[in-house]
Amino acid sequence: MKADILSLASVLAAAQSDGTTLSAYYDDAMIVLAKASWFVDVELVPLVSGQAVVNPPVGTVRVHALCYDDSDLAPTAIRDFESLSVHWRDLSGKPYAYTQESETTETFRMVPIPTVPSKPFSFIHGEPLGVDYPAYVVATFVSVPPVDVPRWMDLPLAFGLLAREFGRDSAHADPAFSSACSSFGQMLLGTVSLDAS
Amino acid sequence: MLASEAVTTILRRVRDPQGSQHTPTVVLRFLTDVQRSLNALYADVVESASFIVEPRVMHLPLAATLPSAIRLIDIQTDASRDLTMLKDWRELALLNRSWFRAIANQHELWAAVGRDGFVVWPGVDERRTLTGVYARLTDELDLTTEIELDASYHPLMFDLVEGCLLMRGRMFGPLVAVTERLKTGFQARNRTTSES
Repeated sequence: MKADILSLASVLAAAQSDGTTLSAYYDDAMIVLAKASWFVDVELVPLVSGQAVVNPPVGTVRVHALCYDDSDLAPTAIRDFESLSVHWRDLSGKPYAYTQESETTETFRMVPIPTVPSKPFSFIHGEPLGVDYPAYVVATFVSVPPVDVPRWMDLPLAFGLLAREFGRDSAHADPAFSSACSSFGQMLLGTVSLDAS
Repeated sequence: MLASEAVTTILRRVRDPQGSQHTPTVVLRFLTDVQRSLNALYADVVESASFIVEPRVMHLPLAATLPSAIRLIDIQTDASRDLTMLKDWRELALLNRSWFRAIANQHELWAAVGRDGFVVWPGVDERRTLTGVYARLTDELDLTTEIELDASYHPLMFDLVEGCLLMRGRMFGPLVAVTERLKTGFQARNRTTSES
């Protein structure tokens, strides 16, 4: 729980840390951990006929895989599509690949354009994969920053947050404390750096 | 070893035997968290539990399936057959482009998907019971409970908690020595783990 980690960080810092800043650093840390593939969700996206562009789930920071109907789509660069056909955007059929059109829009274009609408969602046995998996949908394997993390991560995360909090320029900056927290956090968490900058 | 003995030892090490600067409650909290982190790293305290996989379901969230698991180590079928572990779940797409819909008579592989989920592959057409072997979230310590990690981990535990307390008191001189000891301790532990 976020509250537990912030409270632990405060105990470690002997109440000298700034709670608001720590809270912001916690949110940053969730993004870093999601980008490092610590948390992966599967989300289904329904399509209408002729829809080639897919919006990943809200908050997605990393896409690991896109699957359409029964195929794992190959991530492909726009240049590669262009070398195949100058009309690649207009091809229609069953998608076999996808590309990210631009980093600003963060949407994905499937190639070719699917012509069949998704079957309705009806989950009896459990979602998203399984016997209820609807035909002609897109399954996205994505990382979204979690709200809470497993409890064993409380201490390493608290160290990571304090390393940033006391390493920044402030009235209570303490480089020695920051450095010690950083090395303890690394020892317990491995090689993931929680510095989002 | 009882947690109370560990608290006494650690408070002596930081020259605060009466617990006037660091209360036993604070030390116990650090001990609890350190024990959990070390168990996540080295999977010393393990247990197993069975779980049900619905027809053709492959992706399962770890926390909902095995609530006390912090890291999955192995999955066995009801016939005590071990499923083969894939290091990277994306390798499933190399085995079969339709991996997320593949159906067979029995599960063959499993792979962690992030730290909070896993897949069992391929799907099977009927409900099956599998057994997960996992590193368990260790209990919150109080003065009367035993430390769950094996005694060989106690030096690392004590050094880490001592380091937490020295940091808390901003005693960076002694902290340097503890940090060096920890680096050596982790290296030795990692060597032992990789050899075994």
